[in-house]
Amino acid sequence: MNAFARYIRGRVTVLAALLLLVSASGAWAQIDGLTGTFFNFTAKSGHIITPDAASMMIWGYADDSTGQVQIPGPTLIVNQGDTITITLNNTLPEPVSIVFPGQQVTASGGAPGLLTQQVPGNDNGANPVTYTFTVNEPGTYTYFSGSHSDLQVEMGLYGALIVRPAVQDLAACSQYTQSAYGDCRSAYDYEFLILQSEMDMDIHQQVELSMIAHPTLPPAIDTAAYHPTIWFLNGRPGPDVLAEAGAAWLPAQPYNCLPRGNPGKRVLARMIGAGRDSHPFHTHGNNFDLIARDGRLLESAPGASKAATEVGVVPDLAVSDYTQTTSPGATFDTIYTWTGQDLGFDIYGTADAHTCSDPACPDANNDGFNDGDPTIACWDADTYEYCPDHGKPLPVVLPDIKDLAFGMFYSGSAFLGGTGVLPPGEGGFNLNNGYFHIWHSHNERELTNNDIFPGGMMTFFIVEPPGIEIQ
Amino acid sequence: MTNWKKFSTIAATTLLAFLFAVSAYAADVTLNLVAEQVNVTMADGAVVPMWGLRDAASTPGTATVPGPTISAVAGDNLIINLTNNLSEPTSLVINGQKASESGAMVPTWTNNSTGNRTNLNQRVRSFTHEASTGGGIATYRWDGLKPGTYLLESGSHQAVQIPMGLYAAVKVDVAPGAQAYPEIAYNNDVVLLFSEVDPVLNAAVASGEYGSSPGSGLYTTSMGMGYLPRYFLINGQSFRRFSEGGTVPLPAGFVNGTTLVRFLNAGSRTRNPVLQGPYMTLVAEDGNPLPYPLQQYSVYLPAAKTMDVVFQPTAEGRLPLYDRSLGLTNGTTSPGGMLTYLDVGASGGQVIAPNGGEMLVSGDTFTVQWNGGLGAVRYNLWYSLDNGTTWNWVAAVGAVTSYDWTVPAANSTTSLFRVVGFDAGDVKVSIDKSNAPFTIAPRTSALLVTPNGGEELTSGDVYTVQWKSPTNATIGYQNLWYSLDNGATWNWIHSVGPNKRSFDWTVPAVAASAPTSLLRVDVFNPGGTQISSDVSDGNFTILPRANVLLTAPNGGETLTSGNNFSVQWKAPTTNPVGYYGLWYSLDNGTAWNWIGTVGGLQTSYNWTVPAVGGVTPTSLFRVRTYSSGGAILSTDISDGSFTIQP
Repeated sequence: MNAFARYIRGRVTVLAALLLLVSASGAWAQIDGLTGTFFNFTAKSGHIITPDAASMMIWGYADDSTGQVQIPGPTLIVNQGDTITITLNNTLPEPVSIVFPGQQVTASGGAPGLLTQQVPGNDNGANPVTYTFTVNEPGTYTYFSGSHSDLQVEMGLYGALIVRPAVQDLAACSQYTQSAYGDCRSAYDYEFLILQSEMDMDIHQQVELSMIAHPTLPPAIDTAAYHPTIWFLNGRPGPDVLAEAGAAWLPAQPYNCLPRGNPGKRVLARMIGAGRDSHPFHTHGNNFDLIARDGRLLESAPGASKAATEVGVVPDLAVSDYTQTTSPGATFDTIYTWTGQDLGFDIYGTADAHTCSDPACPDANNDGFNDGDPTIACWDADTYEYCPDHGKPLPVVLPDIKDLAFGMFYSGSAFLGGTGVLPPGEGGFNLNNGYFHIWHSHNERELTNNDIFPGGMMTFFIVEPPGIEIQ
Repeated sequence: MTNWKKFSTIAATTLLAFLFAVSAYAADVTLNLVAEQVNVTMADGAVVPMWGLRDAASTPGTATVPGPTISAVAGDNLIINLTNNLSEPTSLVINGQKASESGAMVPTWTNNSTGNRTNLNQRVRSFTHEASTGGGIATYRWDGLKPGTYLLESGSHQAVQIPMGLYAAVKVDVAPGAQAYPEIAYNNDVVLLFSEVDPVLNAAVASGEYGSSPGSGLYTTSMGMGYLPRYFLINGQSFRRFSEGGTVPLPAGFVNGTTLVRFLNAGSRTRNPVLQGPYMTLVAEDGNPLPYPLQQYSVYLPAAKTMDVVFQPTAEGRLPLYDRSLGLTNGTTSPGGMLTYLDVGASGGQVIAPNGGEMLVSGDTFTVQWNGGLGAVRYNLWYSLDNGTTWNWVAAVGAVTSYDWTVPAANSTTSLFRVVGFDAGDVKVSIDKSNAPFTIAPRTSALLVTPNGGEELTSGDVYTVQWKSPTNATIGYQNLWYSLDNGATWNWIHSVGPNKRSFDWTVPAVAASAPTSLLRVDVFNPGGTQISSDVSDGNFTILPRANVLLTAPNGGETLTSGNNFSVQWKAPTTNPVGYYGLWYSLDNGTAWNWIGTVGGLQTSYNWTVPAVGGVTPTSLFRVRTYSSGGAILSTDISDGSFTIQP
């Protein structure tokens, strides 16, 4: 891992400094986006910087309030029942549009396209199209261009749409204040967007050359011969996913992808297949529960529920898995919770006098199980420690540090929140001394940036010690 | 929150419908298909060789990709007789249905053997028994079909034969046109079969030059690295703009009706169709009903997958449906590929086929299809040759959604078909015509339909010979001949008039089985010049008759004493008949009364019906053949008793 560590360190020397800002700025807020009901977009071209220092032309939707093109397009965060109006302008050399799968959309203006009304090429404000729809159902949705989609989706014309439920019926799970679909089955502590896409640099270079040579002519590109070379989460390949959102040096890639949570917390990961390929997205650390697909809960009847894999409840047709194949155009809502259950050692170590207790779980005999029903384990009410493992030492004796190689995220201690001695120059990238679990596409060649490993569709889920504020 | 409530309502009413509409008897559905190579023009004008399927009765060279959609009722037995005109052995399998003929799903190896593998050099060439090249015929059978949507494909050398185009949709309903599964009812259905074409692969296969050692005869595959599909098809069509005479929207039901969409993927890559507008309710996967319906706007369709979804349209109009894996190009041009539109009408009754672009040949049988109109109990069918200016009557039919139309003799590229639906009160509830013109082409050559190969005819039987005649010339007369020696010599049958398309042929007597028989029809103009001729595609067999067969009186007749009755029988042909002996019985065969003998060349006897005491319903007749030396050769008795009355 040393080579990997050196490469990553070289790339994100800025990262450590930025990590110190975690509690000060909102740059780590879970899902960045635009709120409201009226939006103005312009489709335009721009450039992104890839982690292997290449510059690539992209086409994206820019929010007119800043004029900055971005991939993915702005995440729209709206409320169930709202009527949403989006006006689209176009400076690209060919017609562009937006389609919203799962929504009933009225489009006016522009010219008729094959899927919806589209803004003509080189329009520059003359014939905008207005898309109007009422978001009747909460959930995770996506949007993308319905014009010349085989080229325009490749170039980056896609984004996420999140609809918050109008009513939150969380009385039965009062420790939560938010849910994706309005009740305890989709309740969460933290939410993150995981929008997956890919790009073929050759196609982007051909488009750029075409636009240089003929700025107002539609590029003629053979998209059937696509072969992606770069993979993205929320518009950034690894390891740029780890940098802060809104990083000034990634102006066209405002979103990051760094899911984090404390033990026992429910994390909602909204996965979207935004490109044209499927990706087997794999969550180390634990299974997740897939609770919804295409914005609809996986339930056999309204309200039907069952126990989640770890904490709380999920809809009764939810699927527990550790790899989710995300299909292009589809959305997948998952609930992920990390605990230390069955690790076999006290995750907080045995050096201090911490206790494991929950007033609601009587444990007079200190075996970690509920005295009333010994099949039910107790969990600490504050730290979510797994009490049956309380006080158990690490089952191995770690070798001397001279005999170890270190990953950049090792805090020096095997215990959550703990630190330890590290050789000079090692570590330093684990600000809160959490556990890092890689989340990645399990199609391994997607873990590269233009053939350079590591990179591509990877990030980390950081299990932060209790008390560390996530959002 | 979801459309779950609507689904449960559908389920409740369909359960009721199913209880009253159970099909009591399983039928045999027999299809005669031919696999042949055809050149298919892609949407960008490129011509690609493909391997398709056609009905054996249709004109050679008209095979389609996909092959014809096969429809059956759950419980039916599907029998396909496949004739293979391709350059390599082929076969048929249906994923998810159990093959039941003997030898089914026993692999054929690359060394032409079948059965257990005996050495490691053998590779599977076919998953089942094969129809050999050069017109070989094999019969495949699936008894007791399960309901649902299934993919028929080649079971041979699939890496090559499926991309070449050997696939078709199979739909099996619990109640045809009404119920797909015991709990899934529908008003109209749409088949969407996705597939793709790599023209480089197809050209290499058609030329025989592919694989690692082209021309070496080694068993190789062309599906190596570099597979690159360039054409993306739904039901064999890529998208082209309407203004270029392209894609015609697919009729997909009516407002508040239930439309069933049957997705299949015969390609090698995963497709992800998205329906723009309404959510789809997934109800079955690979022919297996889902335990719970799922709501999605997209469908995950890997290779060989079938998915059944339903939706209830809420408005008239055209709903785009496209592949979100972006197979949306034709060659290197855009737009194209897997984009189509589902056409929702106010009240249904939309013409499905012919709906535009088809090529029909005069004299062929074309199955016209339409979807059910809201409340329609009968339909009037019309066709036009002049783009709808004038309409010609076809037929009036009842509450059905298809009609086997004998294509009239015509030559028109501006043909349309029209369906008008009426409800029980004779109110017109729907009217629709083809979305775009189709072509009726004249038949330019004769086509013998039957006997065409494989049939077994028996001496003395009457067999209805059928053929199709050219329509692009005036016919004077048509002559029929048969051969017993594979065409070396021809024997005269009959000459028929210009309008005849069939002839009741008394099969000639043969002493021994004649398996190399052929039939020929020659068509002449009034001046005596031959216009066209056709011979059976393959040999049929004329079987001898071993035993005499009494045909009258054979049971059920009423004869009157004193009247003459013509007793009839069919002569045996395996041995010369010396003479026939004739008897009758009045007591169901306990006692036989001698009548007399007739010569060995006779096949009838003018019998004066004897006097009887009273009405005798227990009468039987017996005929027996004797050699000239008096040995008994065969005997036959009336199959059932007949009545003699005074």
